[in-house]
Amino acid sequence: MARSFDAAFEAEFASLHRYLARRLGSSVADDLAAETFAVAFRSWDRLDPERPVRPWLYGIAANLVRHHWRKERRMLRAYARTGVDPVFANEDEAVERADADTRAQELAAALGELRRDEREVLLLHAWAELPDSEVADALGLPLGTVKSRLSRAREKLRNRLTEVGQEPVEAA
Amino acid sequence: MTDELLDSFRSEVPLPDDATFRHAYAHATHARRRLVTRRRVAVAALVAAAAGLAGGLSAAFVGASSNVNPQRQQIVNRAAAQVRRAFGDHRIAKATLRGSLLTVDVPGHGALQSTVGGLEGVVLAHVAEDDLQAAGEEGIDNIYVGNWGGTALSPFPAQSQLPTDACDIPAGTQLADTTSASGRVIPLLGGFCLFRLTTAHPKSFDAEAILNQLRAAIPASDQGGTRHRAQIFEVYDEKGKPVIVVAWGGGTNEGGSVYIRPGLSSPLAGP
Repeated sequence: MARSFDAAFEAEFASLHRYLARRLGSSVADDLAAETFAVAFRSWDRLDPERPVRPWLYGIAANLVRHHWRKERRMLRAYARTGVDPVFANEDEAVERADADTRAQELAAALGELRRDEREVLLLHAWAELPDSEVADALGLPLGTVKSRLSRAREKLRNRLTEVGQEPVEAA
Repeated sequence: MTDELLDSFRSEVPLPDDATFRHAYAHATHARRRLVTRRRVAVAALVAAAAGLAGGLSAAFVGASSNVNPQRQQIVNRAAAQVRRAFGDHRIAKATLRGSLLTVDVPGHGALQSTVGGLEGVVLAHVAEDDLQAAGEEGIDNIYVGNWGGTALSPFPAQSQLPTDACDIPAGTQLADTTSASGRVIPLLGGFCLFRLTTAHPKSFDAEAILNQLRAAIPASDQGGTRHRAQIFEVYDEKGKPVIVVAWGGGTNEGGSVYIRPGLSSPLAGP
């Protein structure tokens, strides 16, 4: 049965938007999520019917996010430095969040220090909840590359958080 | 636990509301309708030209697109010409201002189109914004640049004008794996540097180290504070094909774009 764009939009828009908002804030997510589906709509007729829609959409989104990687890094570093997360900068509770969670600040610093390609794989896995095979599909990478990037990213986070006094964690 | 911490990080980000949902759906599906309409217009224009009626009909089309204000569009056209001259290329095929949305057409998907071409579009938006405001016109709220996508146009911080020799690479500067290197000022938005390098060793070229060498050779203060200015860094192989291209919007706040030739490691992933 042919897949409908409307059904895919209905099923995936909210989670894709939330994923982008966690990375770049709601305002940027509004634009990128809308543009992701605009690109998808234009290419809908050419989509391989056997190919899962979800990783394809996240792959389009990843291409769009690529243009904002410096901004994302700036936001993570700003959060790590000030304790105020720019992702929530337009919300009233932004100031109240300051200093609320130093562990989150350390994580922001660690994420900001990751290589762009490692952060991409890690966040697609952790926040978009894509399994490794779908991350590979989304980014057009071999499965082994995804696994090694994911492993490296986790190790870097673990080391960084251990350095600043977090408890050590077991390997994923 | 790292995984738990990662799961909870920014987990309170809200889901999009109904208005966002509706707007996104309209944007996605409207984009297709607009494309179809343009295609029809193009076909109609061809037919009209064949019949010797193109002049009259194209005037009718301009009149029909009522949300393109000819006076404002003229300002954008002048700004586009200025950007093309400054960059010395014609990557921007067309720029159209409809209401407060500027759409910049940068056709093609090559290494330079998708990086420098995108930045040219962003620079054009800021130049046109300044010119519109100087003419007492309403400014630009949003831009859509081919290859870079759409975004709100952020305010551009005022910059002192960079001297024309600010990006010259001092004689005697040795850059590893580099057979030629030059820098010049793009004199827009206060001026910013464009560096062009050639390497005989694309696979071992350490772009990050070379960029740092360049920055050390030309102190940031001489470049007007690199963090607040756009910057372009192009590396070619000896056949003139792009190896690495970095186009950064700097203080324009519209981000940046990096091309790294497939098969090479990405030395600029985490500078």
